[in-house]
Amino acid sequence: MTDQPSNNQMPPGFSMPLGASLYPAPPYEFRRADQAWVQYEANSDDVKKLLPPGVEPDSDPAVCEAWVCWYPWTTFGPYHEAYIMVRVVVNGVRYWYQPVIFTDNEVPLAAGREIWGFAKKLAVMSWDWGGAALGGNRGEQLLFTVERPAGNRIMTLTMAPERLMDPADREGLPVLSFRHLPPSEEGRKPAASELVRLDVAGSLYKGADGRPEFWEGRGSLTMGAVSEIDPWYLLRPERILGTYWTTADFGLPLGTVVKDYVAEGYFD
Amino acid sequence: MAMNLKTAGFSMPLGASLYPPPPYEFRDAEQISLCFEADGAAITSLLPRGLVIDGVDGDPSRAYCEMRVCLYHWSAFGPFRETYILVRVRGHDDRPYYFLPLIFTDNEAPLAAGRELWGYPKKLARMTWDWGGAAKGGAMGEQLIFSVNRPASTPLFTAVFTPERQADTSERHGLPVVSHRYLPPSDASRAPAANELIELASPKHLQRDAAGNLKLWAGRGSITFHSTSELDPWHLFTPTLMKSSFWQISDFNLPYGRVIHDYLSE
Repeated sequence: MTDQPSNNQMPPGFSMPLGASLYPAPPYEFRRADQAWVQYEANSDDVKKLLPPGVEPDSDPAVCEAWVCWYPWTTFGPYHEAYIMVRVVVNGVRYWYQPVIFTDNEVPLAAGREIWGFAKKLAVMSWDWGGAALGGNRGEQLLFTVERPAGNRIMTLTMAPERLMDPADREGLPVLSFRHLPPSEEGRKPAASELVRLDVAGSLYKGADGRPEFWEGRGSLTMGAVSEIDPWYLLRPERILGTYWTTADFGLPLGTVVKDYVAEGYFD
Repeated sequence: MAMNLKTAGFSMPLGASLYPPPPYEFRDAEQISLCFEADGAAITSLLPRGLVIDGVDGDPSRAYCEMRVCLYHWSAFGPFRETYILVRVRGHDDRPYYFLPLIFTDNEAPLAAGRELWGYPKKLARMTWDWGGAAKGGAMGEQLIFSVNRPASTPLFTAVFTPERQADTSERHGLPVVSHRYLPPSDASRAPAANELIELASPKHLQRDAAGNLKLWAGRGSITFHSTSELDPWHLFTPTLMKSSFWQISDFNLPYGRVIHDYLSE
């Protein structure tokens, strides 16, 4: 029999498992991130079905953006991502609110959900010029497909870059997400139920002529399956307002809580 | 109309939850338990504050551990494989528990639900459940080989088991499983969303074979760790003595847990 030692220390780390964290503390760095998006109008009543209390579209019809991303290098490794943002107002401040998002990499899945409430699920995505990977020819249109599960098309975005635009013409707004982490024990309140603001600072790449790689063009956006499991169809486009593509470096820091539903008594 | 937070779902994204509330049902769950002793001093580096090794014969240098390797043919999360380590500890209340420091899965929903709900600190890994190494070109054989790669094609460990005799339930000694749910803050000015020890009691109902015997087998097993990894330090559980091995097929479900210690309220 040996004397029982005490244990007064936590294993080091930022995320589970402590001692072998899945992801470290922010910021998380991204390099040469390709991002294309379609800005469009959508039916406000359908969009509101995916908005938490206190979050309202800032216009009617609601203005949304469908973003598709290819991150060839990040501190999480390379991955694809697709998400929708809705331009909203909360307590008089305008944001891009993100109701749905898919990734195809484990670490951003967990970090996104656990830190900021980016409500990620895994999906099968491809970033493909002209549909060449699907048997087509290389072509002028970027084709980004989103399937979940594999074979069940949720969204298709295409974009043909046509002209460089001035980044100053783009209105920047902070991103807003809804971090909701359930209780571990029945009868308890959620571990978190809060709106988290994220301010992302980035730098656009420049072509050899010194102009920023911020492209405008024509695009298309098609929502596929009418799914209760992944109801992206509620955010389907009614009119396209613009289509864009950038290549940039940026980092993701911690956020700022702007509304706490637990503290406000929503679960009492 | 905006969503009602109490009815819009259980997990993110509300309105399209990745997973519903518990319980989560499992059917035809195949699990092999490899029971062994390992170096208690090495393992203590993965124990949260207040948990101590409940060593063999009271010796904390001889940690009692079990590795479980699992093939879940059907579950409410879909089919998946899983492997995890349990180490016998004593808690803040001096009761014995199995603490779960490391776990891999190969399915998205149990990854997120496990981490967010109970603090099962899951990561995704590549795993195979393979009789005789047939999937690698061998013949079907009497040995089950469970291999774990993370990342793919990087072997972390291999578990092997040969079923030899019907076992009796009295040979198995269950304890409540405890996990450390740690969810970081979203905002630098705030505390973590959770920092607590969760107890989960989930009795498994063994199936019976055509003769009415419980599907619980004893046999010989082995565990081999291939990689010394800072990212996935499973090698800290290298066996110093294999004690026993079992294979079972059961149905069970996973309910909510119970908070047995809240570090945020200390």
